[in-house]
Amino acid sequence: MMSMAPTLAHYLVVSGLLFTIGMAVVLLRRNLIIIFMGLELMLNAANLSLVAFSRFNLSAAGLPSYDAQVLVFFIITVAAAEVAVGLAIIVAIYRSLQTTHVEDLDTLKF
Amino acid sequence: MLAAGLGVVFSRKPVNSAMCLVVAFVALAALFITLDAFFIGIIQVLVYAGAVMVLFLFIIMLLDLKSESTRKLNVPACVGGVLVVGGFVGLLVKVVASNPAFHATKPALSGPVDDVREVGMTLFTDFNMPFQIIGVLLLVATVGVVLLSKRQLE
Repeated sequence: MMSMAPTLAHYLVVSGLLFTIGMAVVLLRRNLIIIFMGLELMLNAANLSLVAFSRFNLSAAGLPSYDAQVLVFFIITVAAAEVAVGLAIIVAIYRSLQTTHVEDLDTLKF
Repeated sequence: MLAAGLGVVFSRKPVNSAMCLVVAFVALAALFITLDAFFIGIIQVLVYAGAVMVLFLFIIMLLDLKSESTRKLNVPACVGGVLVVGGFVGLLVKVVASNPAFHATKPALSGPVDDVREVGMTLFTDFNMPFQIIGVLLLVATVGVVLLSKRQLE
C-alpha cells in the first residue's frame, strides 16, 4: 500500500482534509485575521483538487487538461484581490473599534 | 502540509499561525509540481507564500495582535465546529471510497509538459473574456483598498 503510486483518491483526500482544516480554523478561531487564513486554506484545497483532476483526466493529445489550470489561475487571482480588500476592511474595523475579535463585533446583534 | 495546517488551528499567536500557513502553501506548491503543474506551483509560491503572506504578516504587525490565551473557549461553538468538521470528513471518505474511478493511478503523459505555453494559449484564446474581466476586478480591488485605507474621505 505504501509503495503504490499515488492515485486520484489520495490527492482528493489530502485536498478534502486541507479544506476541513480550513473550515475548522473558520469555525473554531475567534480572530478575524486567522479566520481569513482559514479561508485561504479552503481556496487552496479547491485548487489542489482541480489540479489533480486536470492531471488524471488527460486530453486527446495526452497532455493534462489545461482548462482546470486556467481556472486555478483565476482562483488565485481572485483570492489575492479578496485578501487585499478583506485585510483593508479588518484594518478599518480595528481603527474604529480597537479589536479584531469576532465576539467583540456585536453591534448588529438583536 | 497537513501538520502545518493543523498548526494554523492550534497555535495561540497569530504570527505562529501565519508561519504555519507559509509552510502549508510551500508544501502545496510542491504537491502541484508532482502533478506536473509547474506553472501553477510557481504562481503558488510567488502569490501566496510571497505576496499574500507578506500582507498577512504586515497587518499582524501593524495591529500588534496579542495571543488569544486570555480568552476562554466557547464550548458550544467548539462542539458545533467539531461536529461539522467530523461530518464533512465522514462524507468525504464515503464519496471517495464509493467510486472506482477515483482509484486510477496517474496516466502517462504523451510527451514533455510545456505547461506555461499551454496555459497561456488556453488563457488567451478560450478564456480571453474572463481574463479581461479579472483585470478589471483587480483594478477595482486596488482602488477599493486605497479608498478603504484612507483615514477620512473628503
